[in-house]
Order: sequence, then structure tokens, then C-alpha cells
Amino acid sequence: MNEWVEPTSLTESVKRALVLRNCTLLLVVVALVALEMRFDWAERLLGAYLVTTNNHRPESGAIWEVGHQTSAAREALEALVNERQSLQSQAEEAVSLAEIFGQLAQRDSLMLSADQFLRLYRALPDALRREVASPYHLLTLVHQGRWERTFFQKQGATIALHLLDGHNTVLSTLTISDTVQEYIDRGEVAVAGRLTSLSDFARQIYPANRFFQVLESLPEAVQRGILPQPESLLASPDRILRVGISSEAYDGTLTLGFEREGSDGPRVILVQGREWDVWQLARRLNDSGGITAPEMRFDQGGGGGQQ
Amino acid sequence: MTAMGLWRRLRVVVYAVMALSGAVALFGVILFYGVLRDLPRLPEPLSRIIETPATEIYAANGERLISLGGRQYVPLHRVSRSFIQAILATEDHRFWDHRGVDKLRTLKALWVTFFQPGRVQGASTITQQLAKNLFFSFEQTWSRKFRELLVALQIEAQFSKEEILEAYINQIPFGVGAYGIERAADLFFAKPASGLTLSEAALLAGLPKSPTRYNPFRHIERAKQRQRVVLQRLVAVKAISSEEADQAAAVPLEFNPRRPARLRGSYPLDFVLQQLAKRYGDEVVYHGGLKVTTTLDPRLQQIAESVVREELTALEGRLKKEATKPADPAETLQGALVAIEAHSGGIKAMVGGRDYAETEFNRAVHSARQPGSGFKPFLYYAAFENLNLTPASVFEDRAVRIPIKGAPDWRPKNFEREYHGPMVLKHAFTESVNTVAAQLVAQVGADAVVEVARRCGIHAPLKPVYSLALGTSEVSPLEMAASFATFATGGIRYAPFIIWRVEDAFGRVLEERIVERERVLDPEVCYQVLDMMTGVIEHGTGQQIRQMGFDREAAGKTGTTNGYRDAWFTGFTANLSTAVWVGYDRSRGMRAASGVGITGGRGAAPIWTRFMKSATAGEPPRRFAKPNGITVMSVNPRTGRKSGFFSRERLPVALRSGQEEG
Repeated sequence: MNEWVEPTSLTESVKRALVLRNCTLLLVVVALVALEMRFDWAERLLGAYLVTTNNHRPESGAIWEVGHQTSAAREALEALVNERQSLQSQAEEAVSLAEIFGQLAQRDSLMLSADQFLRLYRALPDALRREVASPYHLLTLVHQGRWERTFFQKQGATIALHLLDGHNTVLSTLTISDTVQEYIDRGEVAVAGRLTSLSDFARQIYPANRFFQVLESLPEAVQRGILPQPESLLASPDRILRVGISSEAYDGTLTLGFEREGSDGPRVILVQGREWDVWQLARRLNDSGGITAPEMRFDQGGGGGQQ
Repeated sequence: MTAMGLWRRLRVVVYAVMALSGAVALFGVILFYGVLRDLPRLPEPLSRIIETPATEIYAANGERLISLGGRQYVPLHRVSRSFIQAILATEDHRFWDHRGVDKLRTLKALWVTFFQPGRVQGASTITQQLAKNLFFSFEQTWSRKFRELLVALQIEAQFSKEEILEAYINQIPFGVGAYGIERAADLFFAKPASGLTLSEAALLAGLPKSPTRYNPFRHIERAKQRQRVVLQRLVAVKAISSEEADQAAAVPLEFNPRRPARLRGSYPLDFVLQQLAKRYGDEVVYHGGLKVTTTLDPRLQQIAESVVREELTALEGRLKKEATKPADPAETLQGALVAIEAHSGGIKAMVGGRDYAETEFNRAVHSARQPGSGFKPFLYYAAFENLNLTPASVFEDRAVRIPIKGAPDWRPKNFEREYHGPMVLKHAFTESVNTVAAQLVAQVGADAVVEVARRCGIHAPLKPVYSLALGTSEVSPLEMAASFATFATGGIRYAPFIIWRVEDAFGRVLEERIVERERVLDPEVCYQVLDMMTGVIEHGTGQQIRQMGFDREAAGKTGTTNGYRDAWFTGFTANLSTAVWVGYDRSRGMRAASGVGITGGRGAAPIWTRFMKSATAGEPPRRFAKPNGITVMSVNPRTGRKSGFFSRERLPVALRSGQEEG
């Protein structure tokens, strides 16, 4: 291998500089620069390479942050709206006020149409209806034609019902106490007095022991239909004396009245049972020689009492 | 030096340049791979940048007040050709030719930066600007620049020029909260981007360079100058002729007359946003695309803003010159106004200060100021209700000394330091006599006054001390307007509110306001106080209201605190309750150059009157409802005895059944 010797003259230096290899290299560099200026190949190359790595890179930067915030906001709103809508549709489909109270346990308020509220109101036993609102008051509001919706609002143990017009102005506010709520929840209500004083039951009143004998003879499914929550009757220490069956059905239900004698006088507990099941029970009671009200009028010992 | 020596040196330079180039290339490669990992991913498609829905706030009449975040996306073919040409000529005239970097412009900019000290020249292409706006902060570092350049190259490789330009014009800031050309065209000229003329397009194309500096609503001359620069650029790139440029520059611009004032922030909008953020969180409010309907009335809001501004300027002009130091915002005379619909509680207008741009502190809601005599309606109601007194009951206006357990005696004085002897309570109320109020609170007790104020809707902490009756506990204008509305409705309280309804971007309801009413005052006792409050306007401390020509049935009460630090007037018609406060943020009194103190009647009542005159213009007159058990009887204002037919001193008072003989 020849040792490198420094050129001794300018000619020699130029000669060495202009060898084919150097010239080619220079030409290539110049061509690359010229082509870059003309065709932007470096930008294209880099850009194309970056496109291939795009999916492996992080979603960072202002636009992504906004995107993530937007997604989070949308999810939060979606959850909020879904919850609201599902509760709303449940409320509109509810068949009893007890269901509405159940929904209110999950949230503080909900809205019902005036029509739906009236349906639920009418489904209540008479005595409970009066506890919730005066039918005359509701009649006035319906007649005025301004009542459009009902807003249920939990206020501690009580529930406030705001009857609203189309501009959400409160036309009237009703309050349902916790006691009435319990009655509605259990589907029962206690009325002071005796069965014979309630015209609904005048035609079908039976001694309690006969009623329960027949009830026990029925299949459990039917028993459940007649007395959906027997626990509430068991809870009271007072003995049941007589049982009455309402003569009018409403919305697939019939009201049963359980008369009991307590320290505060006679009371009738009203319970709603499924119409078909109660009807089967009544048929058996009558077949087995049920005692109707006129027969009971002077009967005290069998659980009845003179008024 | 010999030729050989020169050659040697040249060779050294060539080697050095080659080595340096190699080092730079190597550094570039290392840097490239170094930043590659952290380089942000590009969204696909690029139009995703406009997917954030805007949260929109509407007035009660459905008019949109403000749109937060979000973009009004517009495809390129629906943007005025003039604007496209103008923005390209101004920002990047070689846009169609380069691949993300304008090399010539970059070299020129580098030359200027390195070799012309003190001068900086930008060379960012539209693609680079887009990359910066989408992904990077505005910090000026070489690393950020390099990353921005790489992203720009990728954008060019991944998207067409049209897509890039469309994304760019849909996100550039034009100022005053307008992002994107469609929003800007709507905001500044109330027209779509497709309808922009050359003159308008040139003005808008000049704004992105410095939206605040060239804001045409504030600096029209600067904006016009910038417009001329844009037009010259258009001539330079041969997009238009110089004649066309001259014609465009000469065209008078017709700006959107209504939008601008509302598009910057404002006190009521801040209040709305604070409430929304409290319920839904910032993320949902600013990125969730809520549709919020408020109770605000844009017409009343506009009246309120201009009246407060003009009256405060006029009042400041009358104040002692040495007392004003306008340079310090805390030394600027401030004011607040809240107007509430009496029969719903809906806030119709709210002004929290003289100028939102100067100070965003909302005095209408957050300031706590002593109301002075403005608190007396609660005292008189408590006295009538608990002591069975009547507006005709006689008390003596005299120097009083009220003993207080464990503290020095309380010796309240009248504002004018004068005493007028016996007078009926209505007269004492309309003339705002403090000594009589002191005797009343001593009899009825401070707790009873607190209780009445609470029933009417005052939530601020109230000290149950005698001086409370003279308004020493601090309250906000919002509370005053809301609590006085209880008197306007005959004793039914409606809680004040500003949000009617909140929906998501698809119109599904998230919440709606229930207007709850609660009877908190006896209607007859309430009417007695209301009748006395009408007396304030008819012939008492607020009679300037009648002198200024407000002739509707109205009631109210002035309030002025010690040293003239606060001037109040809170009053109402049957429909609208409005509270006005005037004062300094710093505890400082207001005195005119003549030395006369600025009272509620002089400082706040004129604002109230001008506002109410305009706000109620065109409405049918409505009277206050008088309960059946009320009888109005004329009495002698000094003796309280029924006035005879020929008596010259007659003061009508409202009496409940059974009080006529008392």
C-alpha cells in the first residue's frame, strides 16, 4: 500500500481534487440538492416514513387532549341522559305509586305527565286517594286545563308533588307523608272504623277464620295474588276479626279490608289483591257458605261487631 | 501567502464543512429518532378537529348569547374565494407548491435571524401553523420547532392540500372568541363565509396575525391598516389588481351591529357558567356541547349595561376630583344591577360592575355590602306582624339611647342629624327615620327581623343585633332584588334562578327549572309594607324617580350607609324587581364636588329609574294586588288620627280589618 504524500504543488492538488471519485461525489451531492429543491424528495420521504409510524405514536398534544375531554364529557352526559331516560320511562310505565316511590329511592326527583299521575292516583284505594290529594282539587286543576306535569321531589322523609303547568310553574304542591308512603308501598291503608261502615265492602264480609281457611286451601301463587305482602298484616299484634272484599275492581285489582280491634279502636286495613285471584277466593268463600254483610249485622262473636 | 498555502487552507475549510455537515446530519438523525417516539399521532380524518360540540347559552327568547368551544365547520367550497386568496397571500403564498416547508422563506428567515440582530422573521407555512395549533404549545424552542416541522411533513404526506387548507381555515383564531372562518364571518359581518366580499375577506385574513391587536371592534384603524397590508399582498401575488385593492380598501365596512358586546364574557354568563360547572363539572360544560336556556332578556340586559355605564360615568364626573384615581380599578366608581321577574324569580338582567373587561368581579352576586335603610322593610314587617302596629301608629322621632347588655348603649342618629317629633310609622319609613326604626327593633327584637329577612330570601349571614334594622349586615344586590320581589308578589317567595333548562347536544333534557312558590308573608301585612314603599317613591327619599318621569305604580326603598360608602335603591313594579348598588370596591365614601354626600336617592335611584323606564316601556300598566281585608284611610302624619275632610295634612295608610279604629 502506497503511503499518502502531501501534494507539493497547486497543480498536483487540483489534479488530486478533480479525480473521478470526487467529481462523481460532488455531482451526486449537487444533484441531490437540486432535486430536493425541485422535487422536495427529502420532505416526501420523511413524511411518508412518519405516516408509517403514525399508529404507534401517542395521542398527545392539544387536539388530542380536547378530544379526550370531549369523549369523557360525552360519556358522562350519556350516562346522565340514559339514567334519566330510563327512570323516566320506568316512571311513565309504572302501574302504582309504590313503584314511583321505589324509583325515588334512587334519585331525588322525577317527572310524570299529568295523565300518568291521574292513572296512578285512580289506582289507589279510596281512602289512600284522599290522603294523597283531594279529588275535587285535582278536578279543578284538570278543568282549568293548565296542569301538564307532576314533579315528584324527595324532601327528607316526605315527598312533595308539584303539579306544574307548561312553563314549569307550580300550580299546586301536595305532600305525601312517610306514613302514607308506607301504606302505598304495602298496598294497604288503615281506616278507623268497622267494615260495615265502608260501603264498598257491604256485600261481602266474612269472618276472619273462614277467610284464612279458604285462603290456605288455595295454591300459593293465588295466595300471593290475593295478599302480596302478608308480612304487613303479621306485623300488627291485633287479631283480625273480619275480612271484606270490595265489590268494585279497578285496573285489575280488588280491595280487601281486614278489620281488627286495637287499643285505639276498630280499624280496617285495606290491601289490594289481584282481581282474578281474589275472585277465586270469593267464589270459594261463597260456595262454602260465606256470610255476607246483612247476615253479619248482629254477629259479634264470629268476629263481627255491632255498630 | 503562497497559492499552495491558500489551497491548504481551503482544503481544511472543505474538510471542516464536510465534518460539520456530517455532524449535523448525524445530530439530525439522532434528534429525529429521539423525538419520533413522542411525536403526536395525527387524527384521521383531519376534520376531526372540529368534532368538539359547542356549549351554547341562549336567552329566554331563544336568542343565542354565546357559544363556547366547538367549531362551525365549513367545507372549502363554501368559503369566499376572496378569503382563500387573501389568507394564502398573507400567510403562505407558496402553499400550493411546497411540501410543508417553504425552504426559501426558511433560509431567508434564518439569515435575518442570525445576521440582522433585533429582527425576527417568521417562515411558518400554513401546514406548520396547522401543526402548531393542533398539537403544540406556543413556547418558542428549537425542539418544538423541529417537532412541528416533522408533523407538518407528515400532514403534507397524509392529506391533500385542500384538506389541509380546509382544516386550517376552520380552526384559526380570529379573536373575540371566534375560531374558524364561518364563525368569524358570522360574528363580524353577520353573514356566512361564502358571502364575504373582498374588503371583508381582507380584513378577516389580517386578524390571525394578532387577533387582539387588530380587533376591529376595539381598534378599527389598526384593523383597516392591516386590511390594506393584506390587499397589498394580494396585489403582490397578482391575485387582484391595484385598482381592485384601492376600491376594496375604500369600501366602508358594515359590521354586525348586535353580536360583539355579547360574545365577550359578561357577568350573567359567568354566573351561568359557574352554576353549570358546579352541577356538571368543567369538562362537561366546556366540551359536552350543552344547550342552556337562561332566563335572561337580551333587551333588558343591554339596557342595564348601558344605563349603569353611562350613569356611573356621569356620577363620577360630579364627584370630588381629588377623590378619583381612575388608574386604580379599585378606585373606580362601581355599580351593580339585578332585575328579577317577580312572579317566577327568573333573573332578567344582571350587571356586576361598570366594565367586565376591566374587572370580572361580579358585584351583583358576590359582593357583600351593607344595605343601610334598604333593610327597613323587613323591620317594619316584623313590627306589624308581631306587635300589631299599623302604618298609622305614632312614634316620636327623638334622640334615643337603647341599652344593650354587656355593651355601651346604642345611640342611633338620623342621617340629617335632626329630629322631627311625633310621626306615624309610614312617614318614618318614607323619610327613613333611623331613631324610629331603632325604637321598633328594640321592641320587636333583632331575631324577628332576621327571621323575616330569611323568609323573604336573604341567605347572607345576619347578625341578630339591633343595628341590623339599619342595615349593618352585608348582603348582595341579587339577594335584595329577590327578597323585595316577595313584597311585589304579596308575600309569595320565588327563589331567584338564571338557568331554565339544560339539554345535551342532541336535545335530550338534563334538567329543567321548577318554579316553586311559597307563601312566606301574610298578604295583608305585606301590603301594608308595600304601601309604605310606594310612599318612598311618591313623596319620600326616592321621589326623584317620579321627578325623572317614571309614572308606573312602583314601590321601593333607598339605602345609604355611613360615610356615603354605599348607595342603594331596590324597588319593583308588579312584574319586575330591581336592585341597584353604587359605591367603591374599597371602603370609600362618595361626595360630590359641592361636598354633598351621594345617597341612594341621588346615586342609585337614577340608574333604577332609567332602567325601569326602558325595561317596562310598552308593557300594559299593572297595579299591585290589594288584599280584600285592606282599607286605605287618610291620617294626619303627625297624630295618626283620621284626617278630616278639610284637613290639609293627609297621608294615606293601608290598614287591616280591625285597625281602622285603632
